[in-house]
Amino acid sequence: MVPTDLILMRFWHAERFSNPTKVGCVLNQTEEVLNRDVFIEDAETKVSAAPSLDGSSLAADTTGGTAGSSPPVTNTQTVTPRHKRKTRTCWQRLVLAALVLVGSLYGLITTGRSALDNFIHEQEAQAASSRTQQVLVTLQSLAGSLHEAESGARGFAISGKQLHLDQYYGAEKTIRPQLEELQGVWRDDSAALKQFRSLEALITTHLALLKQMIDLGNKNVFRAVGQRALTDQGYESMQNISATLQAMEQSARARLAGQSNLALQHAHIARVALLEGGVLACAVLLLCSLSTYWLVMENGKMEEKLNGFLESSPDAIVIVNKEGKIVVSNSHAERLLGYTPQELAGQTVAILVPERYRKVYLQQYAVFFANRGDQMTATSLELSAIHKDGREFPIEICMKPLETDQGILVTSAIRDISQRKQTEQKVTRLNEQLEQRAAELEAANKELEAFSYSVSHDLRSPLHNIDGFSQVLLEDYADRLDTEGQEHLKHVRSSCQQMEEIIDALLALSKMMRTEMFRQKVDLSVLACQIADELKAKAPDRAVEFIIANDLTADADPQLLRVVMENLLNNAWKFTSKQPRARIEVGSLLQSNGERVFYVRDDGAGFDMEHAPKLFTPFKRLHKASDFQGTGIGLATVQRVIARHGGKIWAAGAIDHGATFCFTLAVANKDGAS
Amino acid sequence: MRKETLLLVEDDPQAVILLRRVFKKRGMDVTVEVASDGAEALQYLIGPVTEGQSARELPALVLLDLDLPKVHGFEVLRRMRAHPRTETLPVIILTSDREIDPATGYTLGANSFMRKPLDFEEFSRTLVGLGLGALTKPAAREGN
Repeated sequence: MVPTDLILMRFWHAERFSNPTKVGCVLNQTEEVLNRDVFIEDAETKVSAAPSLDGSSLAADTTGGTAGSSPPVTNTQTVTPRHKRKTRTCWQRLVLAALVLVGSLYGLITTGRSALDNFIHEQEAQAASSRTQQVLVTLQSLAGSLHEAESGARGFAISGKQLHLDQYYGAEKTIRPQLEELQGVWRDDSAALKQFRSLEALITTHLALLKQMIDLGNKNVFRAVGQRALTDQGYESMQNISATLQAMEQSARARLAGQSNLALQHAHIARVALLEGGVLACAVLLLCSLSTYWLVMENGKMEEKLNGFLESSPDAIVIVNKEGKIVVSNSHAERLLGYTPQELAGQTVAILVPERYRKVYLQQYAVFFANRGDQMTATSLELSAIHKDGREFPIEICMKPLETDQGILVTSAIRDISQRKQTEQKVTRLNEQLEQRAAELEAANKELEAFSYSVSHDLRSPLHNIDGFSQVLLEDYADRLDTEGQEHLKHVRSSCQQMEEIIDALLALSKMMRTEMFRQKVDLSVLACQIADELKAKAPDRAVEFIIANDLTADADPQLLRVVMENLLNNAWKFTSKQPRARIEVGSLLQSNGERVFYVRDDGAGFDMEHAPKLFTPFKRLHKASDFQGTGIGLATVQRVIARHGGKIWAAGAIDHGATFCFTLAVANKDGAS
Repeated sequence: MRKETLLLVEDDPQAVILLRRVFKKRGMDVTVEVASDGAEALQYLIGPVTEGQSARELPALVLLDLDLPKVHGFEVLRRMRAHPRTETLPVIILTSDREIDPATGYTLGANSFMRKPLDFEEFSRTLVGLGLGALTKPAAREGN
């Protein structure tokens, strides 16, 4: 189990929920997979810092401990140094453990060697001591043999009995081997060998003396002549030998004591060394066991944490190896795909996607495995998955390859996007509907244009003809028509005139909607004055007072604004025509919301507020045509122009108390057209 | 003196009647030939001469409506100007369409642009301007 999934999950979240700097940070961390413990802690801290995550999704595993304590705001700055510090501590721990282990081993070897040496020395001392004891025995036996030989020789010399002679020869025979034995034992000890040489010389001399006594015994002269002298000489020699033997025995005993002591000392040291070694070995064993236990526990914790992470991921996670076989999956995968992690383990990943998507899906894996994993960024695919029960549903899969000690693994975070797809489809459907509506509207507009053109042409030509023939009748046939007939013809012509005006107005209205609009600063005061002058010029006998405020500026299309002002001032002019003196005002007010409202006010015929909603409907006329001429299209045109500017128009009035028309012009857009 | 010919390209027969009356009433002594669509006008002006017909003389002036069946007035004008025979023949556009920009007509080579119903005073001024003032003169010279 490697922390690739963590990286991937974090990458996924970073991509979706975090800002780009965090993504960068995550990518940096992927390089340091070494310290898993640290990695997890950081990962948790990081995730907990992502603001838009729901708390439940990743808060499941808090064994990291430090997750809460690290301030999320400075996360991007603090993560890396903390990480490094942690890594260092772990390295130090490792080095320390290694040193302790090496030291312990060295100690063990040293004590082992010491114990072995001492044991060998003790063995040697033991051997030496047993040799010395043997020497003591041999010395005593030698002394015995010498006394035996002495007494034998003396007995024979005195008694001449064969019994004594046998005793002498029996003892004399054992002396030489015993001497040789001693020589063999002492061959390496020069001091002892020197003592031995003198002893050997004394013994040889003494034996020679005894031999002399035997020979005298044989000649039977001893008893008579030389007995005394030989006896004295033999006694003296024997005394020397005894003294030497005694000295030798003493030195041997002294050596024996030393050797025993040494053997005891070595034995003691060996025992202590063995004890120390044993204790040390136990300590090392304990340390190793503890380390192993610690490692196992840490690994267990790691595994627990990783599992926690896997499980706390909001997505189904499936990790796939180079052979395309699933290595690990989480319980979300089970919920999403219907397969338990046990069922999925070892399965080929192709079973999770429908046949038609397998190629692209496996190709993506191939791409990851062909490249070095850590050089590849995560890839997101939208395709379908197959549930265990055969049901197909749309998924989004985010794949991220990573090189691990198990080779390249690809971690896939899978998310069910059925709902999103449904929403997308809904949005698409709505958009289509909207587009259809727009198309319909456009078609309607085109129809309107076609209608306008048809009006302009097909209606206008016959109208001209009617008017033309009426004129012909009036001009050429006046003598054959009575006055009434002529009047009727005049009405025909007048109706034609009116209809011509309506056609013009209709065309103007349609043109308002068709022509392009260019907003700019317009001096409304100047515009109003121009129109007022034109009106006054048409009827110089009328007494109309125009009160136009100074410095009225508007942000609008000048041509269209002229149409608005012409219509409004024309209306005011028209509906005050029955007053002997009229007053028309043009001005502006600032609304509480900061919007400027322009108004045109007159003191003319006014209108019933009940009919106010009909004012701006085409062909709706509030007054009789006989009272006030008009097409019924003027205000409809004005309203369209204002609407095109994004503004509003409304009116207030009362019958015979005048009317006030107010309008706003929304502030221009950046492109200047609406 | 031979009467001048004026070609009226107009598909509305009533409009033709009214125009003829205006010319007559205003004392214009011209032969008014009528082409009721664009194709007929082009045939009359630059079309090949059919068997049994003598080569037609060109009119002194073409009064051209725009919204014509078969070939649009502007197309008639364009082909006329592309043909050496009618390259410089005076053409006055006469239309009831208020939305057509006169500049389009002038660009295609029209000599003048007028709107229906015909304002005769303006028409005669235009003819004078085109050097065709004689057309508006009553045929009093021939004594009838």
